[in-house]
Amino acid sequence: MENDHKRELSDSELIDSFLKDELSAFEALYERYRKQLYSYLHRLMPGQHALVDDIFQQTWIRVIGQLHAYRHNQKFLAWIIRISHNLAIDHFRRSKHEETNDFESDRNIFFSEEKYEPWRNIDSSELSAALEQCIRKLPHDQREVFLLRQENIGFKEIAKIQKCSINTALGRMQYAIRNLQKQLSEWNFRKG
Amino acid sequence: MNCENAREMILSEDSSDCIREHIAACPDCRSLAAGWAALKDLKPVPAEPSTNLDFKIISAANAHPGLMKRHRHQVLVRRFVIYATAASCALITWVVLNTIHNQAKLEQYGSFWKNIDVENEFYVLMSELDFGIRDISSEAYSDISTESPEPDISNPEDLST
Repeated sequence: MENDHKRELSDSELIDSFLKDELSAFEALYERYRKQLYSYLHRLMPGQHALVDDIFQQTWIRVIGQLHAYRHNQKFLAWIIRISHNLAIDHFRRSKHEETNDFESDRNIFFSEEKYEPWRNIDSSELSAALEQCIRKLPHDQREVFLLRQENIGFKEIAKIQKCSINTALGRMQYAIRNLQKQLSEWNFRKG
Repeated sequence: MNCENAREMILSEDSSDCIREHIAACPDCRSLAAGWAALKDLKPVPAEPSTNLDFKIISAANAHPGLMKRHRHQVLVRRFVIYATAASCALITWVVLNTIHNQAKLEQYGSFWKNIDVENEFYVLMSELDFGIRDISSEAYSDISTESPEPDISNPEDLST
């Protein structure tokens, strides 16, 4: 009963309740975003399960510590994604992981001028799996913008997360779509 | 509308008439719009964190000392503000009531004095002045003794009288 009531509350109300020492409010907030954030991180850093778990946990711990500073005019999902983005960058900087290069701009893109998408008629689960493979091949910044847009995060917030201008974010998104269109067309062609 | 503006509108999912017209005329933007429309909802089954990870995070929320400390601090500050406001209100009320009370008293005495007849007042003053003069004169003459000095027993002349 109490959980049902909590589910109806807005993010801001849940945060206020948690700051008044109500753990159940945090549980409701966590339940609301756990899958979304975890899936996002999973797709952003494919195949790195341990790292995804680590960043996911660190993100929530930081969220708990900084909830009092959360400004209610921003989207909560965008806020937690920004925290996880900063943690991921810190991680890659520390470990000098080979993925670090992916965080830098990669403008080596394919520009497709195809007027239609032959892959659009393929079964969505199969296409979805193919898309995941294609997303893995995207440069990190393009991958991130694309995944954030899929989570309905606006370009203003994406620009804040990536610490770039809105135009740059739009450009990355455009390149990401072109890249994916190209890769999916090739995949469809190979598939016959 | 140029392609740059159109790009922003397509990717922000703005579906106004002007963008439709541009898409109809521009194959490049049409391709971008079609690509995004096809890809935006194409998501795999969402991955879920393990129950162990959930447990760790909920435990961290439950036992976060900073939060408790900060919360206690906030409660103390809030209480202080409430008590200070209440005390200020009480003080202001007291001052206002006191002022009103004094004002009423002043007005009361003022009307009392106004009602006294000037002539009456004059006589009162004069009588007071009269009593004052009498008091002063009685004090002045009190030093001059009207009674005879006591007779000296050793002096026979005094005894005879």
